[in-house]
Amino acid sequence: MKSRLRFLRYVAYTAEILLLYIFSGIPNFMPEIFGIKPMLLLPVAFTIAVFENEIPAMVFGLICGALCDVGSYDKIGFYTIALTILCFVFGYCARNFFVTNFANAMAIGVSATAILLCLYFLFFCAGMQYAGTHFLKHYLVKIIYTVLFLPLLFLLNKLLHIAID
Amino acid sequence: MRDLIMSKSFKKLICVLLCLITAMTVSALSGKSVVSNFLSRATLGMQEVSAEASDNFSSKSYDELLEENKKLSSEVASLRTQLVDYYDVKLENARLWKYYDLKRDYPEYELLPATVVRRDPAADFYGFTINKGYSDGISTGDPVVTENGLIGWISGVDSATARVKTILSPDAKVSVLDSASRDTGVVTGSVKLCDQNLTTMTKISAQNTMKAGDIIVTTGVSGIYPPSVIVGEVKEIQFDEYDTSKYAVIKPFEDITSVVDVVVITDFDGKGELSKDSIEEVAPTISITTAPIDNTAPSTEFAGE
Repeated sequence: MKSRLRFLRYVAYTAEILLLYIFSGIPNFMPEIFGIKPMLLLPVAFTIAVFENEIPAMVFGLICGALCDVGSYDKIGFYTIALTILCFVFGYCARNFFVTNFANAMAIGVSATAILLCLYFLFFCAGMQYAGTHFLKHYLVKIIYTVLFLPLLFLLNKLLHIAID
Repeated sequence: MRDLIMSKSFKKLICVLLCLITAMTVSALSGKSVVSNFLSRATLGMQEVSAEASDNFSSKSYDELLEENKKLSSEVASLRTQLVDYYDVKLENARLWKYYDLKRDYPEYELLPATVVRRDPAADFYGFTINKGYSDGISTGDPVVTENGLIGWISGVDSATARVKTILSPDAKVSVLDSASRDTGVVTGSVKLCDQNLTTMTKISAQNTMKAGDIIVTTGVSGIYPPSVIVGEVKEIQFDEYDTSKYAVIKPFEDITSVVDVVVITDFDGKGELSKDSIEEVAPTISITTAPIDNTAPSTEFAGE
């Protein structure tokens, strides 16, 4: 019974990820700021990770990362590897070191989103002309816009975790 | 930490990472990503439906929506007698006319109409995904246009979808000339201007005679883009604050930030070849690499154009 419920929860997570992937890419659907849309798959991966053990967290991180990479053109692999590792670590830490609550999840989600997008910028955009402007206008906005969805997705995944446990 | 490293879970993580790195290396070497192919195939249908549904979507205030609702209600009453799929047919007709116009203007080009199905949050500079892939004959580096001019190029292609980078991106390197003054330069996107649907023409000579309103077209010298494709018009000439060279701000005729229907030029006369006429035409002011062009390596071609 327990494993069946867990399987159901994973199906629900997968459906959530796929739906958000589709919605986030629909042209003219999400409001844009300076042409920037939130990367909804990052907070989804982090909020799933804090509720699950490290292996399922890693798998969902891998799925979210692969979907992010499909849209990020010629940088295939960055988000897949980064989210796989980060979600594994968050899953492990959530099981062993801290209690999963709103404050902890927000702290992890905000810092991880910021670090991930800053690393992406450093690896792939830092060499371009007006890199500072690019960071402020696009990446900082992307970080802020993305973390705005953290509370909502945390509550959604908490609901899923409680309802199907 | 020691417990973590010795745990079975950590070994599983390492295995997964090794598999991922192997898969990515294979994909990078073969040029085709199995994962990307699978995901694009799996989600294309949903993306097409959602993109279609969002064609008329826009963010408006409640009052604007209310007013629009009233107007539309009266329109609906008068349109009831017409066919249910009137708008679909009309839209399709408009798309086909655009395609027909392009085909008539450029009979020597192999054109493939496509629709934007996805604008991914991870894609910078208004890049997008179209609903045609290499199974339709598209290859990396193919130019993407509309009836209003050049949009960008194919930066990545799967079996069912292709990703497009736009001329608003700093990665763009399009050899162009001013059709009025014959000044040459390179169109490349600017971080500062991309949000206003503007791009720049750099590497123009200090003695240029360009002026606002001039039409900028491609030269076609390196065989990547066909010659005489409209890029946009000169908005103003400015000085670069870093190297004091001049550059022109170019306004594309198409709104690249929200374009929906595009056409991919899959083949044209002189594709992948250095055009002799174009070289003679622009030779005094442009330097061209003499290295043979490899059609399978578009990234180096762009750098050389």
